[in-house]
Amino acid sequence: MAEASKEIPKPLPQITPITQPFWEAAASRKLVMQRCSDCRSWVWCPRPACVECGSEGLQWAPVSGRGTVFAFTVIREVVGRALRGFEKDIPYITAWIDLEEGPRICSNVVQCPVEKVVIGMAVEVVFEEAGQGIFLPKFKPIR
Amino acid sequence: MSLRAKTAIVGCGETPVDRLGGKPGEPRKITSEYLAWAARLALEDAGLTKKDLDGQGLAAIYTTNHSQPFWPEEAAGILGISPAVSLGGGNGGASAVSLLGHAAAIINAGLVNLVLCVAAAAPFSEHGRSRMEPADTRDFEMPFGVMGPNCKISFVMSRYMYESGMTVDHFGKIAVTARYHATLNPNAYLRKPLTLEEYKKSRLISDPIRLYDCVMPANGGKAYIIASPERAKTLRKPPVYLLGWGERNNASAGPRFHANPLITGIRESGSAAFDMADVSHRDIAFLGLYDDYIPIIMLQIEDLGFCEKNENFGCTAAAILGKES
Repeated sequence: MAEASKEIPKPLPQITPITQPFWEAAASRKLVMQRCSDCRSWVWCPRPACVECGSEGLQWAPVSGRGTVFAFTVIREVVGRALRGFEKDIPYITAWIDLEEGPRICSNVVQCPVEKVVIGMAVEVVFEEAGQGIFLPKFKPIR
Repeated sequence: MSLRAKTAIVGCGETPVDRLGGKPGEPRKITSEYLAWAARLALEDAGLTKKDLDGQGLAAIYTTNHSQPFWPEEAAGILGISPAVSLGGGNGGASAVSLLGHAAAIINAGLVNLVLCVAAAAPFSEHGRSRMEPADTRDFEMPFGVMGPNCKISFVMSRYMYESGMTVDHFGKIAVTARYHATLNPNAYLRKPLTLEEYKKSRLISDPIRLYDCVMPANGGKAYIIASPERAKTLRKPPVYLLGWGERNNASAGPRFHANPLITGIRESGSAAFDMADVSHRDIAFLGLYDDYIPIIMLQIEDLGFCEKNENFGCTAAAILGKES
């Protein structure tokens, strides 16, 4: 019984030299992404060089944190041992969010009943503490 | 370089598939056993022995529950052969087709004149899966509770339904048709016909993906042997020539930071295969699609050019697939 009540931790991102600036900004509730200083492309997920032109001149730049739901799903079942920590959250929303600036980020839509989420819905970033100093950028409806 | 009619498949082997080994008392076979079994069946089919593979090619496919870094070498050890060239297939469900071209290329280059391609997995009897997730998945999906392909294909399906107006009934028709084809295949695991009602009543896993949309894990092994035309002519089966082939990895329709997820790399690889084979859609009598998830069948039919995007969707798909429901 004690076994069953034990909290199963959710997986956290590993911080790498490339992703570190992203997570540092997130910890101070700022959403940043890489932008190429040569071709001006946005780059997401974080990369060592621009995925459009190959330049290594990438700089971290703030984004507005506003966007729309491009696609979403209601998670109703956990698959795999590593993700069992999410069982208590079911049902919940995972989504692809298209930011105003263009990049598409995978995240959760929170602070909204699951049946109210629709494609095209306007959302804005909200940071949730996930443990060990990590803050995850999630999205809530703009009311 | 065109690979048209320069190699032929000369044998194949398929073990029965099962979902046993997870519960106490169930018969339990592990990956290496399915691997050896499938390879033996392919060799028997071709009229070859494993000695014929020494100094030839081996193509071994990594599977999700078994992806150790030295897998092609380990597979050679399991089979007791000494390949002159070993290839690893790391393209998931596309690996067998991907390696078909790679094998044809090394044969055509004169490096070898036979290649055994083999895949095996035993997710039910070998617990756990590889922890080696791609970094983007590990860092930017799993912390948000993304449940692997069920979830990501739900994104694609939800967007597809939004853009096309395709409904659950349309997807259901494809599922019913795919299952009908399984009833004709003695090696299929699910051979009982599926009705549209049963499809629609199956439980939601990750909306709009329901149980009968999902890929079904199973234990099993598969293998084929490909040969140069000269070698093929000495073997007992009529050679089946490879006419066209294409591969495209990390394809992106549009800018990579917001690519269109409804267009797959098959648009380019399919077109390359048609061009190499010098055939048109009308020449195709049998279409073997990857049926991991039902909406993915639809995307393949579109991206191969059998119908336009969003053109009558489910009806078109069911008609192309050969059976209206």
